[in-house]
Amino acid sequence: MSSPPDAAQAQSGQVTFYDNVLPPLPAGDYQVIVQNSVTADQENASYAAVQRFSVTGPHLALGPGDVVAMTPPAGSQGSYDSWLPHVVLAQRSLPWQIPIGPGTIAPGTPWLALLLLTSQEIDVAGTPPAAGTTGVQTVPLSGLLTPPSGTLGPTATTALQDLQAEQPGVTCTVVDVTFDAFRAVAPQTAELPFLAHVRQVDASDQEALQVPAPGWYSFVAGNRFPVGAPDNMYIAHLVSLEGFAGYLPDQPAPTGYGLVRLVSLASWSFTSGPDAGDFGYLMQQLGTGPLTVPVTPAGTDPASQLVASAVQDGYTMLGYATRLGEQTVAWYRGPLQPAPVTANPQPPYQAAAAALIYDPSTGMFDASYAAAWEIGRLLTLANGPVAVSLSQWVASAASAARLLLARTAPGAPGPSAPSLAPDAPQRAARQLIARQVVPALLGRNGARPTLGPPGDPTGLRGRQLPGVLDTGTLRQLLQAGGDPGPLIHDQAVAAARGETPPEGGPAAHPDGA
Amino acid sequence: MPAAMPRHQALRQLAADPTARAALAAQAGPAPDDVSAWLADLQALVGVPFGYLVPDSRMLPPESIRFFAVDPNWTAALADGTLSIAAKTAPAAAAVETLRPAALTAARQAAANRRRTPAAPRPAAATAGPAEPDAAAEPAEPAEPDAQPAESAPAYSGFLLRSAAVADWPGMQVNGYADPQAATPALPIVRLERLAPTILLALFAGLIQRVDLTEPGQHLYFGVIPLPGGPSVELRSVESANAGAPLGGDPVTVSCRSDPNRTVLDVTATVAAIQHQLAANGQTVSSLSPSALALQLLQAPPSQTFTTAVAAAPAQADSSQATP
Repeated sequence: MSSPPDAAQAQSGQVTFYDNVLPPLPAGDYQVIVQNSVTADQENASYAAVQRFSVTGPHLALGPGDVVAMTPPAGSQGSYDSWLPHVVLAQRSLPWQIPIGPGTIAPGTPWLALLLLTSQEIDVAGTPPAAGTTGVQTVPLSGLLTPPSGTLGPTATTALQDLQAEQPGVTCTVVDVTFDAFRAVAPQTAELPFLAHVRQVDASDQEALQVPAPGWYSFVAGNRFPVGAPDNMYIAHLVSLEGFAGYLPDQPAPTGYGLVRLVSLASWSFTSGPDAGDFGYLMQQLGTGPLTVPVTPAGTDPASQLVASAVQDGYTMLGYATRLGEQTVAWYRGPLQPAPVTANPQPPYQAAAAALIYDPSTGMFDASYAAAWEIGRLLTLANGPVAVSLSQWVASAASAARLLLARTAPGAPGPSAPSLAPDAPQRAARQLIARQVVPALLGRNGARPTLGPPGDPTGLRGRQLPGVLDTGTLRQLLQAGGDPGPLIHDQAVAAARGETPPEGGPAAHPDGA
Repeated sequence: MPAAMPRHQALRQLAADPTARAALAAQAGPAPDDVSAWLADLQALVGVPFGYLVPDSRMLPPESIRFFAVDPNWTAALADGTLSIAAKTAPAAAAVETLRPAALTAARQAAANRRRTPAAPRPAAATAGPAEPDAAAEPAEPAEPDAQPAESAPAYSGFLLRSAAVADWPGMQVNGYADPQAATPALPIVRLERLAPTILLALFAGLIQRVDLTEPGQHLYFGVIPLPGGPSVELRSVESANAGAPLGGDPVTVSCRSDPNRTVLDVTATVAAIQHQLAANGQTVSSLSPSALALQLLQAPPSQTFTTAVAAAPAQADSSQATP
């Protein structure tokens, strides 16, 4: 528990505590010096190169995802009077990245402190912060390093001076705390290491959070209990103590100051009131019930009973515009149902309309599965790469389907032929050329070629367009109540094969019934 | 087979013929990785707009938890819509019909293992240097055996939680069990995701009968017990063999700075008092470390157990469904 280990994976439900995680390179300026001496033929030469770099930390602001949680929650109200406030940080070494200075402080002393204050202890241009605000102000860095008279700012450490030299226009978020409150609340130097530590938890049964190292968090606690504020309002500020080593309460108090200006890295407010607002309380107060619309049936008539039973099953009634433009209502039920539903295997729906369910007894549609079909199609169409990949995958099976079809067609080798071999597409293509393309080009049994010379690219000149029924046949067919579709299809197919079109008429068609 | 069979009928026969189906599936091969991942995501309802999941806001009022079972017919229709974009021609539609059952089963099984892959690689910076815990030395998570036979895809169930706790305690620990006593191992989590700042969706592979929600370990707060003698802490063992075990004995009163207006913990004095009392309890501790102090100040994680009837005998819940 004392120092970061060669850690094993945290077990479910276990939390491992570490005193601190020190950054591999403390913030500061470094140089890499490479020296090389070469001796050859009694000649000595020496080469050297220097590469300078500096390791810096987030002196004035944290990144957007650095603060994972602030507790008690911002804006909440609860009986927090026996809690110490805390922040959970996503970077496990963040509290130890910057030496607080000036002077040398023991490693493992965090530069972050969580100050819990009341609104009377914060000053915004002479007044307490307005309700709902935390009293932060944005000032240029010079306003922090050389604050107005009577306000104590941090000692300008080398890092802060460098920062100002490099980025003269940089601003920072500060809070002005009354001098008395700072001396009363700020931790002593020796107390600081006890108010921050690192935790490792098992992240596998948690929601995946966007953190650099899942399961690792650093934790900074405040040292003040939220008790005794006249308005029960508390404001917590995560402040940087960089440059404050000489002003902490264990050091002699500098005189002549009324306020202390600190960099505020995060801040929030909450109310410590009579109601419990902690996690356990919220969980106990949760309402449970089925995932249904809470309505009670209006009456005992069959219609009300039907609606009540449908609602109990998770249905909702939504407005529905039919294809014909009629405005009506339809049942809808999402994928999340109040009770398990048995799977009902079906062939795939080819269209959203195929998934519509019509209840003849009530005359209502159930659009649940139609809506599912439609949103599945829309989501996939919106995902271009997957749509292309899916189409290519299906197309390879579709080409195989075409080949199988050709093989079971009349004159094909028949179903006893060996199953698709790796070279089946090539063989089938050769067969197709030999059986259909060549006769079409050369003409079959002395007949005219189906595919004519360039002067007659369609090969249809002088013939009736295949598949087009003459008016008489069509009228006869429609009067008999038949469907001209299959006949048109057959004629077109026959024409493409170079056969005589079958005779028209409903009686003559095998599928006409 | 009659010679004049229309092509669409022949294709339909083809799609129904087991040998032909096998031939087509062999020709197409397994689904490309991006397609199978996408289908698996959709089976976990990733990307499905919230209005499709909860069509009426009254179904999920504020500060409520709702348990549900996932309708496999709904997710099958969702997959059909997905596959339909490839069914551009009659042979392609027949191909979709033959490829669909295996693709659907594979997607559901892949969805059950969605969270098994590491969520995010650790950044290189976090593993460098001697002072940092060496992430590379940690044992890799054992690979999940592919023991599940290909026939059975698990039924999914889960809950929707709408509460301020979702926003304020991010990463709460969620465990679902298939029996009310939690005697069996926790069900694998298919999806655990915040859909909105205050709405958490959890999907499990299997039918839940019990769900435990626990305050996440990283948020366990420091606190004291308000006793008549003053705010106190009950001691826990700091010996590595049974760290965290309650020691019993008298609580230690924490010290506060002498300030009439503010209750500020005197950390140094409290550390000394706890250390003294730990030694009195036979704990060998030369100097109390920050992590050992954390152990003493921690409050036990609140956990709430919900039992649900969602996994009752499969009810024929689709009573108003008629044959199309």
